[in-house]
Amino acid sequence: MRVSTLLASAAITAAGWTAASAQDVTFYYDKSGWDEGFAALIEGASEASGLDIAGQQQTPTDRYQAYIMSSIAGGATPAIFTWWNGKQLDSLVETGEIADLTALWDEAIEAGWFSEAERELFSVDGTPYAIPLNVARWPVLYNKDAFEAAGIEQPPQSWDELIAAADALKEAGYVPFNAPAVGGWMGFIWFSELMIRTDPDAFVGLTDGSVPYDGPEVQRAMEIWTDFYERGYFTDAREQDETRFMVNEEAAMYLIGEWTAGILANRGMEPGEQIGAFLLPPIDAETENSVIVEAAPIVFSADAMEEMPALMDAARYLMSPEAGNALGAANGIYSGNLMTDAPNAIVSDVNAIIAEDAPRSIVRWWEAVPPELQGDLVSQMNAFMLDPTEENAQRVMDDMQALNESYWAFQ
Amino acid sequence: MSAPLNPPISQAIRAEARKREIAARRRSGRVALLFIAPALGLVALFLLFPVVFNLGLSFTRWQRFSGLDEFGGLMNYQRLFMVPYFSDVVINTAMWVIGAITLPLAFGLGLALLLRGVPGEGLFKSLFFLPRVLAPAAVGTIWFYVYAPDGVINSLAGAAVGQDIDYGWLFESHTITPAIIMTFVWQTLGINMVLLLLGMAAIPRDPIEAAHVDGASSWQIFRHIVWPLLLPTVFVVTILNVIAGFTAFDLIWVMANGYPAQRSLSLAVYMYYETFSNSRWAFGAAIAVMLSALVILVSWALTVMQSRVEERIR
Amino acid sequence: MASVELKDFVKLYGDHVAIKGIDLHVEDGEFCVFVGPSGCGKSTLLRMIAGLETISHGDLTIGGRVVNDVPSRDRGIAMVFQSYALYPHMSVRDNLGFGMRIAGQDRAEIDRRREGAAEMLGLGPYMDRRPSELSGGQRQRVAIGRAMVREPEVFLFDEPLSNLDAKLRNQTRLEIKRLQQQLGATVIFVTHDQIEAMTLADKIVVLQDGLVAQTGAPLDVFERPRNLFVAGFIGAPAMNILPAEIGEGPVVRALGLEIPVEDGVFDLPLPGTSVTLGIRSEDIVPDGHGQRPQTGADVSGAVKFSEVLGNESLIFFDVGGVELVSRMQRPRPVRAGETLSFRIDGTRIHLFDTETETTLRRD
Repeated sequence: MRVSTLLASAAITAAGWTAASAQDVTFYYDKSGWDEGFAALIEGASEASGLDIAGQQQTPTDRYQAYIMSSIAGGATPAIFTWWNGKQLDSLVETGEIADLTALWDEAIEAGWFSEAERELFSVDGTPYAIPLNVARWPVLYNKDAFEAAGIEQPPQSWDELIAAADALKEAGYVPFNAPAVGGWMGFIWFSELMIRTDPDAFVGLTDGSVPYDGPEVQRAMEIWTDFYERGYFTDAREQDETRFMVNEEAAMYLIGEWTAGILANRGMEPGEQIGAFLLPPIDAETENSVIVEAAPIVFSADAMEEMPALMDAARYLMSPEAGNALGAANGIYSGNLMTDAPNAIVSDVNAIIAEDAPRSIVRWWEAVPPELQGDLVSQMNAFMLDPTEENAQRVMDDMQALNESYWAFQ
Repeated sequence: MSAPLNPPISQAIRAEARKREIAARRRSGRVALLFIAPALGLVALFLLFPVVFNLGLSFTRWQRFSGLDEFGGLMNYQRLFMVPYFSDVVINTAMWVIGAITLPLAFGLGLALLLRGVPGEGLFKSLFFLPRVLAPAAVGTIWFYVYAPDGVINSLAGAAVGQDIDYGWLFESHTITPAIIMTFVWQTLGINMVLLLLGMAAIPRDPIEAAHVDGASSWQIFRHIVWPLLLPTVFVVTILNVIAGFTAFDLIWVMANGYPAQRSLSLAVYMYYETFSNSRWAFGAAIAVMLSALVILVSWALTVMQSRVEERIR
Repeated sequence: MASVELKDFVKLYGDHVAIKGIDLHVEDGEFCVFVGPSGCGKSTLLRMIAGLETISHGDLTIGGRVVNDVPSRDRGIAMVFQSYALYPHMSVRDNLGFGMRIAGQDRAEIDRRREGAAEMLGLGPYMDRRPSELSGGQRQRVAIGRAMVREPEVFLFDEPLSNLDAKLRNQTRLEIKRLQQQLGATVIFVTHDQIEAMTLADKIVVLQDGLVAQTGAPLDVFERPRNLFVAGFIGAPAMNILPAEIGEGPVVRALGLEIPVEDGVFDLPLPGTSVTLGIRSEDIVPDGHGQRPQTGADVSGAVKFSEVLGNESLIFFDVGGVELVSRMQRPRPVRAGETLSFRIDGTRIHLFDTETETTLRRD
């Protein structure tokens, strides 16, 4: 039984290899649900480069990472694959297997496709090693009907207005914020948001070990978080359907990546009509305005790039407004290219806000934190959401710092 | 006439006899080897090789993209004891092992005793055995919703006490592991029951009747006759349960939604978590070695006890 | 010790009637043997007495007390099983003491009885062994010892000798008999072996198909079988059974012979009536061996084969297509095909009604 399973999987792997080797290049990715978009990107990249590029999806994410990591450790770096930015990109680039894309970025910025801000998201020590698959900002999505019902005329511009809006929504029978903790990763959302709204630099410091998880900066964020729970601003963290309270209009606001607009649209809430977006205001007027940005990079093998110079044409295409529009049309995903059309009203709203306020882009905690700490720390944050008391907040901070300390001690 | 004398057997005859014996043994040994060679090959390729490879791995520094060629000594083993929540992992694993040994056995035995000779015995047996044939991942998903704040358990408990209950069994650090263990028990007690029923069926009827005539009550018969004679089966069941308890993975993986604060991690889940989620391959290998050593040690001890008990009743 | 009384015993398994109405009285101190072919209900009957089967109908009285609803342990019985039913995980000592121990007897009493039984049965050297370390005969003695220490009013034996080899069986049989006499015990003993029944019993109860076919002392059952079944079952080899006809005068015609019959022994029907004739092998005496019967008929036939037993031979021979068996005392070698002359003892024949299969003998 077990042996036959192993044999079968070996056979499938072998078949996979032969199928892949018939192509010039294989493009690996783990993003599920974007099949149409990837098909369009791969077709376009093949045309632009004249190479025969095949897509290969692998899920779930941990198996995908294991596959990529062992391929690289075994000296067979895939030619094109999606990865994560931040610390994940740092350690990938450390292997020396990833192609330097400085020339391509120079071109792209020249052409007005991207700005320096995006380039920074995909750079390690100032050198860009990746191109964007997509870029997603993290605004608050809000139910326009709920705001109207609560008599809120426009999205809050200051912390006081936010609190007033939340109280008004509560008064009108809404839970102000939808805050799920599904899938083991969502715990960091409010933690990081409250950190950047109180002290963006301290937030960055958390991710490089220079700021402790139990220091005054974190204490303050945790206090606000606990206070919000006490005030009844959040939905039950035990709910497993992450958009349920938004869709059934029990909750009015949802702090999440802008890609969620597509999910809500699928469930009948039209972006722009029922759903709007705003950035959470800083808590203190003097705090720097910022926005969390999640960016998914595509990277190229340095060796493959050298062997097949045409691969650079594929990369150029993948950065282009055409590629961005193809992904947007297929899956409603925003590539980050400034010359693409916004795939939906939320993206254009966020584009407009960013153009006006020019907030500082901050890499999402998930990517910014060392990967070895990700799971351990986020599960502590999840634990806080399930028991949002002052004592538990203290315990969570202590435990996070213990984990953090032992990690950095090992480096 | 005198009784026949033992005729002397010469050294030559003895030597030849020995030679013939060895030749015969060799012949059958060669044939046996021929037959087990394919199995041996597969075991070597898919079991022995990975085990040895894994052992070697546990002494390297391999994590994420590199370190496979760096010798780390006992670093990974030491690291295990430095994990801040290692005590949680140990406590949870202990709870799993103890719960997995005792509960399915106790419930399985109780059911086996209750069901013997009851009308519809076959139907009940099948019913209790049914969960066993479901994939643990499916069972975990079902029970996740049974334990949900608005799930069946809270509804029943609420109806019983007459007020709404929305306790999050799988979201509270002190109930999550017991709750998952109970699901494990639900799934395992059927096979425990069936094995114990088989064991009971193998107990001869006569000593029980003799004890009956000897004046023993039902409890005394169970305590003094059935239980001692059932012990070998109990040990077999226990060994299976110990292994299942140590290696409990699927249910925890599915039911402990993100295992908040690692409060539900068992050694087996921790191994997977460190290996695949944190990409600490060598560390994961070290946990696997520790886990295997524990399982082998405990199973071996139980096997020794089992053969002693069996010896005694044969 | 006590007497045992069975009144209108019936056992039903669903619709199947295993015991069809049995009345029986076993005297105090009597050795009573239930014998019959397999499936006749003898073990069921014993298990009903032991309390291992419910009594579907009727009453069981032990020592003057109706015990239908009394559990086994309080019936004052002890049972020895065919398989010995020893507790495999206990030493001989614990096997003997188990019943008393759970009954909460004090140690001194347990030891006294245990030592008594061990001595009587010669179990002393084996007290610390487990059943698996004993031979069949030793196990059997432990089983008997376990029954003895209970000091029961009635001993029940369920085919206790059938797992022993022939030599041991004879030996143990004697021991059981001697023990019963020593203890003056009431014993009910089940066997399918009629020799065991004959040798052990004060009273034999022959069972057939859930009913009592005949009750009586061994010789009584042997000499005066009440019906064809008992006649065929008791005695080895089985009685020669052949069709016959009543002749003129006290004579039975069979095999073309006229066998004279003793006057007044049978209620003979009218001449010409078909009857069934039974002759035991020892009552067909080969010429020149043993005592030649005075009253009888001569017959000769070709030997088909013979079984040599040493002290005697069984000669199977053919008379006009009917096979008869004769017992040859102080035998000589006999070849197949050889023609021998025999004399049938007319005073020892058995006659049965062909219809009802009951004996024609006057009581």
